Amino acid sequence: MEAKANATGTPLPPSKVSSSRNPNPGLSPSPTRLWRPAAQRNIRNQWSKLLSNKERWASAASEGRSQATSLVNAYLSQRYMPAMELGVLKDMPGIRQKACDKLTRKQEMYRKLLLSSYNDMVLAVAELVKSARSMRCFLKGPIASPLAQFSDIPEHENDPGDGGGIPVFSSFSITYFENLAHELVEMFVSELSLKRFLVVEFLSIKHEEGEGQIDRLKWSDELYSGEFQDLTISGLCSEKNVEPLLPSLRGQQSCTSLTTQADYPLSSDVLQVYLTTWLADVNIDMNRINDIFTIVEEETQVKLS
Amino acid sequence: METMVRKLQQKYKKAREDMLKWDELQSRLLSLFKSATSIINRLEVLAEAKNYGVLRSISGIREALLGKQMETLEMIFRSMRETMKEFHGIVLSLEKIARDAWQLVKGGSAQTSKQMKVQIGLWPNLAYCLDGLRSIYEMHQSEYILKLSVVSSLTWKCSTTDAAAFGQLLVDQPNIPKDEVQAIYDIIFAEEIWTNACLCSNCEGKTDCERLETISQACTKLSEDNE
Repeated sequence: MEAKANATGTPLPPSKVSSSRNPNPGLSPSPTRLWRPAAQRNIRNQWSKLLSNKERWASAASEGRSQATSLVNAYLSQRYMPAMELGVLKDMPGIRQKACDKLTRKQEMYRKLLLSSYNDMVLAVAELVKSARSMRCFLKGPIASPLAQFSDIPEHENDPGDGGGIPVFSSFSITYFENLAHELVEMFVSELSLKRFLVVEFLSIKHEEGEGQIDRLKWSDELYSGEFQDLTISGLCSEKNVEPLLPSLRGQQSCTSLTTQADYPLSSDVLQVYLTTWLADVNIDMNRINDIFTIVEEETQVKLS
Repeated sequence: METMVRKLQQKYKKAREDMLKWDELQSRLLSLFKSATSIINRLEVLAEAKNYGVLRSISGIREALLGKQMETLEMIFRSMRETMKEFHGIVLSLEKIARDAWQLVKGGSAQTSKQMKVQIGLWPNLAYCLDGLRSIYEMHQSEYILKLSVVSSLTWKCSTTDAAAFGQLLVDQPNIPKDEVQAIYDIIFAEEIWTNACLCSNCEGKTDCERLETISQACTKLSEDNE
């Protein structure tokens, strides 16, 4: 809107247009000059979205952690119930069975809550990825039009949307902002994949009577309806291949298969390692993330939070 | 005499502020310590590859997780050292208060040792005022040294039992007996407490009266000692 107003307000005289040749063939100088404020607005917008979705992720992850912890605790209590010393309560009829039933219901509840936190994390990452891909600012409408308008969708073949690589504020080009955003988003995408791995494990812990083969969740199962579609946005699912990419640590090869079998039922030590893995955010370098936001705040001269 | 005591009471109020800040630092230190020990206690489990279940199929996960935990632990240790610096600041401030009080009394008009021990009514004598500040400083100084040695003994190699014992030491603060500190303040501010109690002498609440009883006993004893 603002760009449009500027365009009508101060048109450049034609002589100046020809003397200052622009390297970008798609845009004449006038739109380039007008491009900047629009691009600046967009960059600020996208980075403030990145920040708020980073926070959305953090709160969903921390809720998920406490639900996973409660789930594990309820599960272990139920497992230890037969051996538990109940003191004076032991004479009450069916007390153990009642306690077990209650713990089963609790686990069911925590499983649902954990799944919904996971869902929220998936959506937060999808938003992060979208913002990182929307840093560019494209000319909208006819090229020669004095009424320059901009959008985030490319309309012209020759318009890369980066203003010909000029600094958007004082020194960073669009590509530079994109690289920073990409670096940031990559951490969350790989952490999401690792968390999904843990969610599959947590949702699979169930107390079963007898030794029969338990119907466990598999990596290739969709955890909630529409999950794979959401994961496609962040690139964890490709359209051809339905199963999500296997998790990996950032900067390392993705693991090729999930062949390793664990001994079921899982020991409390294994469960503790799973919970610690959730807590540790191994793929997320918080210091670097804070640095990135500080760098961007300095360059854009705006406090994002 | 009265002006001097009033000035010394101001020093005690300043010392009280320092001690309130000490308490804040104490709870910060304890929560840092708690986080540190919960990581230390986990390390053993995290070191065993067999505890990783299906996570084993992700290459490098054990090293990454241990690395991340050590990083967090290092950060906690750093904050603990920062907190210790602030504790030290309080010790220095308490020392300065005690020293300033001493100069105030000795520097002003040359007080004879007899004058130092003159006891007027509920007012504490000057010698007692100086000693009280001195002991408050010394308590905190010793406690600081104890805390420092506990904090520097805590490493990732500590056993669970060692860590628990260290934690108990930090909680106890054996060098700062709260009741002794309170007793000093009760004597220094006896007159104020007396006045307040008289103002509400009609009230049925017994607590202040009981406290008053203790104070007047302490004062009597003090006067007897001086005679």
